[in-house]
Amino acid sequence: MIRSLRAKHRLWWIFSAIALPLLLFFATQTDQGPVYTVSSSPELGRVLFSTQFEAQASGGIATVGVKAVQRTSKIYLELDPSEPLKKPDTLVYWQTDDRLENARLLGTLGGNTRDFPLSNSQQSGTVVLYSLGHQKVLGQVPVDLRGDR
Amino acid sequence: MSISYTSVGWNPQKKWYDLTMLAGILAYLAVFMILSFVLHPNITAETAMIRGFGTGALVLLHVILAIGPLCRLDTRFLPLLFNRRHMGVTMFVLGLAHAVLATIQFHGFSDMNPLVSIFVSNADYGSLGGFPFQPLGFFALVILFAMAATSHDFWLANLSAPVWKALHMGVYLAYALLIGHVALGVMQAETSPLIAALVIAGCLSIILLHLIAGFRESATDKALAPTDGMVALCSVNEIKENRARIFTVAEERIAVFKYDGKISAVSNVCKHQNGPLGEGKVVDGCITCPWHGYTYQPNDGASPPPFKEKIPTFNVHLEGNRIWVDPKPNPPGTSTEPAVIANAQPAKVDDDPFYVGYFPKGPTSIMARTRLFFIAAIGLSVLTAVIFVVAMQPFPAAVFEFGTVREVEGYLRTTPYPHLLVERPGEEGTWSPYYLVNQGKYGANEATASFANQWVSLKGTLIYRDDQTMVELLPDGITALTNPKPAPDTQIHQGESVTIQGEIVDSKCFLGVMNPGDLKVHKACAIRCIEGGIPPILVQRLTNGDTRYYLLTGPNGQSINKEVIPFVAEAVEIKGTLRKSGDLIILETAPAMIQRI
Repeated sequence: MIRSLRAKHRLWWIFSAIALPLLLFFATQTDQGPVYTVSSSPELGRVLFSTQFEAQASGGIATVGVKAVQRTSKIYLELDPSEPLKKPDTLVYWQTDDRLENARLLGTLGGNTRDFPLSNSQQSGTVVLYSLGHQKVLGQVPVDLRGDR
Repeated sequence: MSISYTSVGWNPQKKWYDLTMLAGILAYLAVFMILSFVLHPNITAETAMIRGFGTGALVLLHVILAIGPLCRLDTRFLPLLFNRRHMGVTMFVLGLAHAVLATIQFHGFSDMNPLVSIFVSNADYGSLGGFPFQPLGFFALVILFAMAATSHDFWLANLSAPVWKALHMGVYLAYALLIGHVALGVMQAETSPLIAALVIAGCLSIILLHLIAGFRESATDKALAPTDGMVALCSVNEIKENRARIFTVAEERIAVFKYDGKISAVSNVCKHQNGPLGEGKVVDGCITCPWHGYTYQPNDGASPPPFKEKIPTFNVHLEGNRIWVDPKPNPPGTSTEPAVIANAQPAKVDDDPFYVGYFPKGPTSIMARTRLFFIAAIGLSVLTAVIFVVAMQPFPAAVFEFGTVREVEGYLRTTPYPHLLVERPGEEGTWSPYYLVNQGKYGANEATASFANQWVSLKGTLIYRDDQTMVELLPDGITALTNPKPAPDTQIHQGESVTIQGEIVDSKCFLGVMNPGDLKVHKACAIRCIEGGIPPILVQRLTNGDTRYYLLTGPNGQSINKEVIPFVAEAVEIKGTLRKSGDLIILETAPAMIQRI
């Protein structure tokens, strides 16, 4: 390298030694990561029934935890998949006979724990996960609401 | 060196060098990709490749930029310089692969030319945090392209070494641009301190190496003052046999060689790449440049035939043991009389290690240092890949069933955005809303307009995340059903006033077409998608890991795509009215009610 370029090299790296650390410092201060909203804690209740079952997921089989919880006078079903099922439009049904057509739709299952209220006078039934997008039953499990388990 | 141009003048050193470099790059990419798919099963192949090639290019650029100063600090690193250009071209190819994939993914398939989109989609040039990072990468790539394209000796000879060298010092600017590209891009979305620490450590190492080498050089650049037109240099005993000492006289450095009982002085600047001849050695009677092995006769500065390079010579004489030089250079190739050392001792056995790439075999001490460098560089690179992949944010379970066409029936609505109401089995009167979009970065307004409020059958590809579902329509994929049923009763219900914090995203990418489909790295793409008519959604992330989705409309339920563009991919707080239409949750708002937080 000739002398004039050596001088430019030195000047450039002196400039870089100031500018680049400053840039990196500001970059760490202007983090544009996601913003979160504090979620309310789930209300505690008496667990009437607890089980888990296997459901079809895109990567194979996922375990879904099911709890029937009594809070004041209402009974809720808590569904807790161990991992997202990655199935389109996963619907949760409460089935009290053999026919899905007669089942009651409780709601949709996202990636995380979801609560679904059951009506006050519930008889035991079966939780059915059904992917409307794939038109396929993903899994089901009977739930006994009669006593402590 | 050769007398005619060939694409690559291969020799064993170059082959070993290139194979080692390629093995290192393949190891880096393999570790990056395999680990990405193992630790992040939801990552898409495109994202893994974009990140793998991008980080690979940046790591290789650090290796390249370390070689120069290391050679200045320890001459045993000099063999690394011999074939550094191949490293540079390889790094450009990696960067190009990263840029092409990213441009197609983030800027392709829309109304706008992807190259124009790089500069205008995110036009937040006034803020540091929001500053568009992709143009920085583009300009860096242009510089690296100019360097790769002119890397051959043909350009070196035709541009002249000083011009070529000045052009290739553009790599420093490219490096600064790339640090900006990373700092204002991925570092804004990836919140792990490990990634920031990696970038900062790499950058500081390069800066430190160049500063140390630069200031050490500046000490040699202090010109010696002449006495009666001549400059006293040093004693002949201070120069090793067949080696030189470097001095600065007048404007430039000269190399004073001792060989065969004689002293000659030539310019220190090699004709080829302006390498430091004074750090070379007299081999077979010729001064041999340590960078690429160009050779010059010590007495006249001319390359031995058939080579034609010539460098300036300087007149020298001895007073006792003291070497004196005339600071006025002779024209290149001028023959001068070497100063003869009285009572010169015959040279001992030459045990002074020296190596340039075209020699058949390198001395152990030098080659051990070269091997150590490569082992360290590859080891650190692979470690960097591991740290980067481990530190990446988890990828959400979002799916685009690319290549799988499904048929869905339902009732098509076009307001506020095209969606299909799909009847759920079981209870009557419950419907799943599926957003409808076209292929590419386009909404489905035109494709669905003539089927509004009709029962239809659709062909398309499913996109889904959490409880949200979308269909990417095939061209002409809508057929009206001939046996229509009554329209679903999903009236929009009066809602409540709310204030919600979250991020405005384009629903198509966020629900699964890209992963990740949010935050700053995806901002330009989200803008292209929303401008193309993809429904904008406010995503509210809860601390329990849950996500809520709000379809954004104007105050009267009209499309609000154009109005939300300035706020896309940023943390915002939106005031508005929440309305429900079946399971579709709509947030009616206005630009004045959206604020950055």
